[in-house]
Amino acid sequence: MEPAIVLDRVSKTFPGAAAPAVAGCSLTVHAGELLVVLGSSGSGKTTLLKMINRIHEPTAGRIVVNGRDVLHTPVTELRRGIGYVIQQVGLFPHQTVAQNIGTVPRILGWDRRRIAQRVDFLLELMQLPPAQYRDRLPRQLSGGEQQRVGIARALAADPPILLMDEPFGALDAITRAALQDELLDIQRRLKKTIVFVTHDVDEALKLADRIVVMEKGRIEQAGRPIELLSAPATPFVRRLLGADNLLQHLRVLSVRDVMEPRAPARTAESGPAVTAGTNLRDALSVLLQIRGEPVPVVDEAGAPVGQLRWEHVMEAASGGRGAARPGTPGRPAGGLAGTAATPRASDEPVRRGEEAGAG
Amino acid sequence: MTYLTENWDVVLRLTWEHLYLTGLVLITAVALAVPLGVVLAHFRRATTPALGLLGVVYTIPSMALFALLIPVTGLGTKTAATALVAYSQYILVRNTVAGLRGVDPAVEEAARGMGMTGWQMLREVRLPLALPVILAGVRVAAVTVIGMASLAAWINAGGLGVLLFQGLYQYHPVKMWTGTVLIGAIALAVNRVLLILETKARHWAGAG
Repeated sequence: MEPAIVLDRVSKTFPGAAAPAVAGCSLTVHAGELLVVLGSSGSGKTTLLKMINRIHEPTAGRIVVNGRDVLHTPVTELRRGIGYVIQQVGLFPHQTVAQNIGTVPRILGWDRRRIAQRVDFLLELMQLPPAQYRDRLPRQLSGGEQQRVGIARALAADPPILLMDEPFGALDAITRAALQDELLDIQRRLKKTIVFVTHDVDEALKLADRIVVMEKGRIEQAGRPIELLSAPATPFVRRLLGADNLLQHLRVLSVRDVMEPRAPARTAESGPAVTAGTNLRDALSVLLQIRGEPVPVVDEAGAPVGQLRWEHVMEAASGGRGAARPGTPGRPAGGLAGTAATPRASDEPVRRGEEAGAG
Repeated sequence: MTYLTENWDVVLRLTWEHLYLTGLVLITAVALAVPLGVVLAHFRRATTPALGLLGVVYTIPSMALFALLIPVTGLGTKTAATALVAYSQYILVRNTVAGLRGVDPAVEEAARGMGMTGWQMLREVRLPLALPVILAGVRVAAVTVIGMASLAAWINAGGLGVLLFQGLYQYHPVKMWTGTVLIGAIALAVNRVLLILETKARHWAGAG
């Protein structure tokens, strides 16, 4: 896997500050992965992010983006190749939605028609009907719509990398969840390398291919969500992620990881079923509803692919063995580089028929 | 009242002179103040001393400022214009700095993060968003300059002040009233026009 961003012993001390904001952090971000930097305020996570596009410049160490040292890349050129989304959005209030989104293409000298097409494509992507939204001003949009436009603007020139600094932090819970789902969807479709900063553990567990936990300017641990939960490197990581709460483990594992992969004898027509991508916490809820009966597992298209039993969930919860189980399709056994087929907490369980009709 | 009917051409000429002086002063003053404000907004440490200095100029009575300049630039429009430009710098520079500083930092960070150059940011984002505050400064400066330009007559720079001074020395109330009413009317009209522009700019910049 090709590294998109490499941080090599990067430090940042702000003038006049007693302690460094970031102290000797090394990190590799692989192309196409969604990496979440998780930490409390003052942990240095935002500073770390903002060194990648040189909003801040490191006082020591080296940062390489797409094979080039950022300090040796003209700063405007570097930034035009990196989408940037911040919590306060920062839309230009005197420009329309279309003008806002078209900013980078415009300064790159795209012709008018190409910009207009790109704007419409991105508005569609962000579920904002272009005819309705193109000519609106930012103040005529809700908070969620503004951040949708913010993301569209960041994606405008199709940069391979996206930096997001607590992008959903100011939104209400429902809007936040919707935008998280959309981000995952966009990530799947456009295969961007995303570095996403948050202080929200639930958000991190939901979105991340890998999580980097930061505290006091240092990286405490980096790894896939289940690795951090099942083997927290420090007491801080354990506490922050709630690693002692087994339901946390279940939410980052999917049914696919622990099910019996053979097709069940009985088809799923009559009772409830879960999709393979469902997280185990939601699957547990289904199991509880049908009093622990084995539940058929189906793929996205509804075809049966296996069955999930009570014991599978129990096993997964007691030590997260499901994650490390070798030979599970689409899932490398251990190793920090694993980015493919990460369980998604966002998948809803699929139910068939009346729940009372089970058994 | 016969004065007005017989001398309307003089009144018209003086009004024109007044408008010309005011216009010349404002254009020059803005052309100096906005770049200066942009530079000062960038160099934070220079802002306080620079505004302090302009503030001192602002507090010098205009008559005294004229008197100070006469040895350098002589009597006439040049002196009057120089003094009035110097006088209006304080308001204009201060508002330009305030306008630029008042731009939402998130908007600036987004612009920088997208790879805009300093110049692109200034032209496309910062100045447009600072415009309402800059225009508010222009409005205050304009009204002040229109009033103070009356004193230009005292140093042979013409304008409606001529009517005021003549009326005063000759005890000619009609001249005094004509000058006063016209100066007041110009000030009110200019204030009105600039206020409309300012409101439009404010709305456009997203604050209205």
